[in-house]
Amino acid sequence: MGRVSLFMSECERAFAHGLPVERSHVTQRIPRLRRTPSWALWCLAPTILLLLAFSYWPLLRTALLSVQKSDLFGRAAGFVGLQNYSQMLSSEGFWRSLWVTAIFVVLTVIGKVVVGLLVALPLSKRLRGTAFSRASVLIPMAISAAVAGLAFRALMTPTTGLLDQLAIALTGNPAGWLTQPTMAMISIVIVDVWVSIGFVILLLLAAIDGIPVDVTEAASIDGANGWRTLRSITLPLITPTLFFIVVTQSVQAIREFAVINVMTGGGPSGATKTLVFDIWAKAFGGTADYAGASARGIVLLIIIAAMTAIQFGVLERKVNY
Amino acid sequence: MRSSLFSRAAIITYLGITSLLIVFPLLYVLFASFRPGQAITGSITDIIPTGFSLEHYVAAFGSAPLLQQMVNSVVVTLAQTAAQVITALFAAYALVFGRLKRPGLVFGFILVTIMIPGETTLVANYLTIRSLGLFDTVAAIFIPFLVSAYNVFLLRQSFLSFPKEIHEASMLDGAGPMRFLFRFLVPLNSPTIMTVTLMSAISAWNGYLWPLIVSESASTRTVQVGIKILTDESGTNIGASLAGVIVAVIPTIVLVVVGQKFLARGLTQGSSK
Repeated sequence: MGRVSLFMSECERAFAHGLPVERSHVTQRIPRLRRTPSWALWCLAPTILLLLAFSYWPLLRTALLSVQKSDLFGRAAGFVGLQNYSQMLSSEGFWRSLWVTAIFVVLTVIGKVVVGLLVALPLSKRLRGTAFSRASVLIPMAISAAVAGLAFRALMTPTTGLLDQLAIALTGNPAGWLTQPTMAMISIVIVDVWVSIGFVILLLLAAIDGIPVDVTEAASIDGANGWRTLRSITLPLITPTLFFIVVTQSVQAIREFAVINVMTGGGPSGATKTLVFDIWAKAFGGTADYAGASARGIVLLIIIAAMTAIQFGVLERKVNY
Repeated sequence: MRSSLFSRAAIITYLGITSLLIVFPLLYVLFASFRPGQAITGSITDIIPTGFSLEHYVAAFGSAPLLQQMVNSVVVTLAQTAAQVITALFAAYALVFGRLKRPGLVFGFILVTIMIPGETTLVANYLTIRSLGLFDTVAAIFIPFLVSAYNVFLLRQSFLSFPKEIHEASMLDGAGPMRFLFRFLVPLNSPTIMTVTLMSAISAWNGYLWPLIVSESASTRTVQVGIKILTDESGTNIGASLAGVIVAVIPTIVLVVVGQKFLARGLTQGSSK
């Protein structure tokens, strides 16, 4: 993913310093050794074979399933061309799931960036007495989305959960955290932000720490106040990281399943049924509509591949001031 | 920094409150899991520990095969992590030192798989597992994930910056390829290998969608899926499921706390500055 671009720059740097990257000196000096030794092939074999079996073959099979009919038991029952796709495109549920996915992605990404900055910016000052905060904000990194969902489900227990108590205290009514359509969306957004926040803060801290001290010093000598430094120095200099976060977290949000499955089950009445949740529901949530699930799987693949391509394209050009 | 004492105190307080809010959901569950009787009472005192009892833990281990599910998760995590680290180690070694004819092509072949979301290949992999006769077994949970292209990527990157002189010297000394790998390359790249191991272990332990699909009986589930189903079945008294939540998060919290610096290193790689 985005890591590739770093690898590219790594190589460029190595070449600039005249270091051999792909081939060692030995290879270049002793032509006899040019031939690929058999041990290297043995070393690669497990990886290549496993990727063929569990990445490439299933990808091909998904494509094949998406152009076949499936019977009640999910068995492929003859080619039907693009019928599954035309059915999908004319189904209201499909467009709704794309819309739900889009809202979920936008809200979680905004949430992660805003909360991430609100915590990472003051943390980056490395004041004495903040070591505990530094360590504890990373804890969510350890927690699975499923378990986080369960913890929040406890907090959102109707009428007795703390968050619902809070809602009752503020508005006089239970919030319907998981039962009211808009609140259900907000709830899964909150949990998804919580699950990723440790990772986001870690990335932001690394980026802010990477800003050369003399730049910020020069700014403060020039009389820039905190807000001005943030707006004109810090934020522009961490744009590449912000961009990286936006793309990787969008991909992560598009692929989110556990939070939705644990908290809302796609409900109420489809309000939190994203594309990925729909893929699962089609294939394993009562029906065995493998054809429909596969067609949606191909759509998902296209979306994820496009996002990765955007990531490469823009990161290569370095989003910076 | 010449910030005044007052603003310093303000920042420290602000950060203290924010970080407390971040860990609060876990604390809430922790306190509830030890609370005697009703785990969540609806009183404001739910935000602090009130009383101590192990009854919900006893109930959790009694009502569901939670112990068996913990064992399953351990088996899955160990097998998947070991396989992902070893396959990546060998693959990255061959990519960097194997004198391949088209190393870029092979690397591309491996790396492209990162772009294929597991949710796309879900049905197809499920069918593969079914036809292998592995449905509803613990093995089915980790078999499709024995290779991590991302691990190959990280290790390859680390190997590329390995001093070539050491490689040459060891070759001139007549060391075989495996000897070089295990005597020099592995020890000298141990920080990256630690990072890769930790990341693989955490994601293996935390897997959810795939284990949910390929396990059917309670005794083959991982703990993640197990406690979700325990929660669905427990109705209004969720004490047992909250105890299960605490049990399920302990291993990964230990890994994150112990391996903090390795994780920071590995995860921030690639967010290019």
